[in-house]
Amino acid sequence: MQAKIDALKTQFSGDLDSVKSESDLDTLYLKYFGKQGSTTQVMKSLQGLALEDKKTYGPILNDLKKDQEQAIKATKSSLEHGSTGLLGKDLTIPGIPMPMGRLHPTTTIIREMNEFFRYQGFSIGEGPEIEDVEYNFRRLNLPEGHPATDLQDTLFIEEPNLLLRTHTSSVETRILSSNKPPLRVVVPGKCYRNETTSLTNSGFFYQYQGFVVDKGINMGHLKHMITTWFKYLWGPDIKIRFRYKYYPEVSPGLGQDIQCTFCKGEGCQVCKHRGWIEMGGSGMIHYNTLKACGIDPDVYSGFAFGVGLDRMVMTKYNIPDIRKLYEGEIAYL
Amino acid sequence: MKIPLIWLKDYVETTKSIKELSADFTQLGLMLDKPLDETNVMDLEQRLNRSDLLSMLGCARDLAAFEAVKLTLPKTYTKPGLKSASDELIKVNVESKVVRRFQTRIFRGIKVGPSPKWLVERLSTYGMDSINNIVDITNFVMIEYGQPMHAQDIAKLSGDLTIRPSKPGEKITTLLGTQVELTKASHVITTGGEPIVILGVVGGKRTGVTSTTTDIVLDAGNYDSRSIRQSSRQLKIMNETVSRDDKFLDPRLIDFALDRATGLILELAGGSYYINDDYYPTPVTPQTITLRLSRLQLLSGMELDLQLAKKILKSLEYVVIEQSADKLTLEVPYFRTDIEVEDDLVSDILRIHNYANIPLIALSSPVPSDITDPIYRFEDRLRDLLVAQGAHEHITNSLTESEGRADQVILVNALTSDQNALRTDLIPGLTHVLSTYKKHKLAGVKVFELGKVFRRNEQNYLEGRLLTVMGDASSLATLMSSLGIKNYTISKTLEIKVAGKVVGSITPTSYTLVTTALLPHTVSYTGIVSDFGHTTSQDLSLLVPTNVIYADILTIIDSLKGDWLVITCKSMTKMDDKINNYLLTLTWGADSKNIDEDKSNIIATLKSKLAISSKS
Repeated sequence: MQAKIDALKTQFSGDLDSVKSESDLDTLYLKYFGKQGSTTQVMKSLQGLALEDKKTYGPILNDLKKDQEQAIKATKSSLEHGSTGLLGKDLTIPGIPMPMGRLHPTTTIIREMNEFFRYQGFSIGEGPEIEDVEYNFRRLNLPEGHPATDLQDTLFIEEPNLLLRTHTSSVETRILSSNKPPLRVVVPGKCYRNETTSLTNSGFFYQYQGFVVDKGINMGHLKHMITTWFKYLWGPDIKIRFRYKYYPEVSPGLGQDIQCTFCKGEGCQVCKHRGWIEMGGSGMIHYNTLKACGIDPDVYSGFAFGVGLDRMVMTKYNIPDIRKLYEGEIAYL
Repeated sequence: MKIPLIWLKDYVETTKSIKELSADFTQLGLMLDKPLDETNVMDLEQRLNRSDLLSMLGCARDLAAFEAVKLTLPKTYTKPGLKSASDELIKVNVESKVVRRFQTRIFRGIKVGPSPKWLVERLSTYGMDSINNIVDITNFVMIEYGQPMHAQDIAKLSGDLTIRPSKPGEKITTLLGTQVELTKASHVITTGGEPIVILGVVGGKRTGVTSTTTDIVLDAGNYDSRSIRQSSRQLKIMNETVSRDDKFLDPRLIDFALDRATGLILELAGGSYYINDDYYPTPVTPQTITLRLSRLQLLSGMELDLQLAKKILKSLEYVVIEQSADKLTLEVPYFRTDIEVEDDLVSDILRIHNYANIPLIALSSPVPSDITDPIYRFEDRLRDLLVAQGAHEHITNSLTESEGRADQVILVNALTSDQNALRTDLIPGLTHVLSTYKKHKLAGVKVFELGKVFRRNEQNYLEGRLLTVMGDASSLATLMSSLGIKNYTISKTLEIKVAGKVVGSITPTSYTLVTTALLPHTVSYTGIVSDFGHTTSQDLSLLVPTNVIYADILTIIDSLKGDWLVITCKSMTKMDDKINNYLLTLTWGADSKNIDEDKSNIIATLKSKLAISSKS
């Protein structure tokens, strides 16, 4: 019986290979599955076997029949839809990539971040780029005369009140001023500063900011959120360091670093021999900021965090010059 | 701020290595500015708000608290000085609003000479040359306490001292010998009408202490930090004095610093100390602040107790005024000009307790309602649709060169003229991108940008959200169809309209859509139907005079009533100089019975109104 089955298999695959047209295929079908067809005959011959043999060969023959029907169907489909070209004939040719559209690297990183924070229940916030000094500085606990508000760093449209936002924190004060807590929001956005363009600085840059305001929010929540986020970005083994850091709009302030992935903390060019790379700042939203935005700081507390996106994009995509990133000097492969 | 290990150990006993110490300072909020080398000096970053961390003592105090070891304070001379005879007093006239305090002390009969080894060594590890014992003491105490001070040779003064705003054109030769021309942005100390010191910035050479000096007047001042900052920026002078005077120092610091300097002068240069003028119109009252245990526990997320809080705050020199089971009332030390609110005390406690000890706590409150603006998702959808068409996304600079248009937003303090205004349009940025591609021999590329443009309308500043696609204007049809917009038209003025409303514009090489205007016309789920439908399409080949364009044809057809669902223009070919051939396709629904009637009506009307004939 086994010999019969093997012969049938060989014969069928040979016949299938020589099929050139749909009518060839019809002939082939009849040859195997017609009343006198080879497969039909072998199936019939099962009846004359001993019970033991029936048990052995029955399932084998059934599978064979199904395989053959499947092969006929596939051949039929490829005949109907035409040849699959070069690949259809020689599957060992690796192929040539098709040209396709690409998102800007910064958009890709923003989406990656958004995906994480959307999952954590955050909304995405936006705000004007032409900003009032009130939202950009005052409500962030940056009083007049604070070094960070100096003319030298800010691009003004009308002095002293109208400027181009210097950080995405201005969106934070806007949202806090016009929405009631609880709030979880991230803000990706363009910011501006009065700096001459260089390898790593340009007149505008991207920040990614986030904040949470609710009852009972504490430093432990902030540390947990940043830890989860950084592990999402750099993998579960990334080492994170939390240390004190001053920012006017938060108190207590917090600085977060990741261990340099190039030297594993030994110190190298990339981390300026610190062993650690600064990854933005964060902290508990300042008492005065919540108050200035109309939120009772004795009822609600919150944390805020921010990172510069450009450096991250440049590292991830290995782009050495920020000007290339935003002046069309990037070719998409 | 440079911290030589040898100097730091004058105040804190520690056996830690410099690497371990710099790791401690990092936890405290002062990262290394430069990598460590073999010199045993740490170069720590500056902090904008804490003027006391620009002093050796301030850094030592935080470190001692962090390591829970004793802080040894320097010896100071606290005995009162002698009284000068009235004709030997040096009067100080303050004619400037930026002075909060200005104290002077007089020393007579001193011996100027070289400094002892310990002093020279400390200054040199910090990076300062030794000049003579008096100048070295003023520098040493400035670094130790963070309070700048000057010593001047009384013999070189022409009478009293006056502090007043500088006059444009006034000149002064600094201690380093550079001649500086002043503007009105600075304040000066003058004697006999001549400026001898730029207030809070740099001293002058004329009255400097030299080896022949025997009598000096020592001064320490407290000024409006903003004014010092403006003055130093204007004059482009940055030094150790400015970096401290442009921070918020407390006027009470002057007493401690001058007492220290007085002790050192008497010890190293001899002579006698006489009190002199102390201009201090509004003495500062100590700040008291209450720390609630509940607040500490709320912000930290930890079960800390008041005992620990008290221990830490005392090590930072807070004074406990009152204590109860759930709160502490404290007097803030004079040098902590950064303390504003209760949370700043929480911050101090957590910092000294080490941030590494704060536990990680997952947010457990319910997720708040979503406040994301639908435009955000819409613009992301546009990106995906264009990328699917093979277009590349770009982000270009919003800062551009002013075109001199009245409605352009102009920056008042731009550094360069090629970036002194905000863009009104995305086309120039993308044109630049395409020209870069062309330079690199990359042709036939489609690019797009989604971004903001800006306009000024009298006193209002407007921000618009645009999408511009360049390199292939024909992709508009695909985009619109993907958005479920079936009937859009292009007017004779090249505006793109949907349902009669302008949503964008088109040029031969690009098209632009206002995303906020487009969004209301779009359909979310398009491009997929559950049955293939059975519409009827018929072509209409029109011979159109060259003065007529498609928008004219469409206006006429739209004015007619008929059963057709969609009209598309498949092609336009030039026949000769007078005639173009337009090929239109009209599509009717499966149940329409008026196809022939509609068609002949269109042909007849186009013929009578626009002299268009049909070609069958």
